[in-house]
Amino acid sequence: MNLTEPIWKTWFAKHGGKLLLFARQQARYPDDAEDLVQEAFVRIWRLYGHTGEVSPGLVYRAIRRLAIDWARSLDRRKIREDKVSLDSPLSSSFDRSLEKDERKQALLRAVEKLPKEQGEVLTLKIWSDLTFDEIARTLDLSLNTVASRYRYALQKLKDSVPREIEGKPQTHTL
Amino acid sequence: MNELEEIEKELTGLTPRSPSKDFSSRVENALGEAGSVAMKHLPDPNPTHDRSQLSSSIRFWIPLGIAAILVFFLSISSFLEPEDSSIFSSTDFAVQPLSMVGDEDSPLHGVTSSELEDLSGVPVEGWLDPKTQERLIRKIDEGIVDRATGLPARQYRYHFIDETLWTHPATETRVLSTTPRQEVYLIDLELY
Repeated sequence: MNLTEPIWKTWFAKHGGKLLLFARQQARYPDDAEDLVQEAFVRIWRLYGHTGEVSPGLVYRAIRRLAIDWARSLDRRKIREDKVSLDSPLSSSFDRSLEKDERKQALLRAVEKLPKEQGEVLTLKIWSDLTFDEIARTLDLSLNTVASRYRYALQKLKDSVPREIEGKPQTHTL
Repeated sequence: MNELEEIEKELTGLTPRSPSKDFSSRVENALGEAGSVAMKHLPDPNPTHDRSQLSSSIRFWIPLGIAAILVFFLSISSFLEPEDSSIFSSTDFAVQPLSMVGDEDSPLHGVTSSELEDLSGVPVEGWLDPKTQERLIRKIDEGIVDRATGLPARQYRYHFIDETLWTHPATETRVLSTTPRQEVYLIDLELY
């Protein structure tokens, strides 16, 4: 029996969620994340998909550039209000199992509050499995800048998460 | 483990949600034909069938392999064993004429140009300048590679045949030599 499957499906199942997470950070509106990923992925796969192997870094870079282009066109139109992401927290991009875990929820809220330049480095390093070198190329930054932003991001998370948890009412006591 | 590493480990433990089926089918529609260009052959779902096929093919090839090795060693040993050991006697080398090693124009060491001409029947003098020609056989797109700078580039491989034609008008002799050659070109890519 000769079973075949389009390679893009395997590729997309492996990287799609990570791409969406990154696109969510890059997009001005969370709803644009899927559109960004679709547009970037289709462009790159049409160009290089016949090789059967596409470097994820190319798609991350394409997402970033598209997001910049789209943001510019939105600036020109000045139509929408900046809704931020209150109606769609970062935790909605992760497995539902963590919804009951207060610590993890707090961690993701803290990630969301990071400055954008630190958050994108953290996302690419932690969840996209890119090396510092690949991140530097994706974001057009130097290796040192990437490494220090990553360190600052972790430091901020360490400082902010315990405070956030302590500030919450302890519903499980008594 | 310091606190930063603990935070790092905690974050790594969170798994981004996979794309929804609706979104994947949206992407599939958008990809169109491009989505079916590269296909992966999935393994046969019946592993026992695979093993039986493998073992039967091994059973077939092992005796053939052993036979081939035996034939190879037998032929090597018969080739190395001289039928007449006098062929390799040192006296034969000693009586070689000096002229056979002194001709620098000869392409074969130990044979003079005139002797070569007599033996081969091919004239040494009187050849015209050779004509060379390059023929493109095929061009292969080898996909995307990373340059040392980290920038992507598309790699093309060109296969050529270099032809050299020697003509000897006096004897109406023509000698055609063909040599395969490859050239690799890297074309820098811009995403947009």
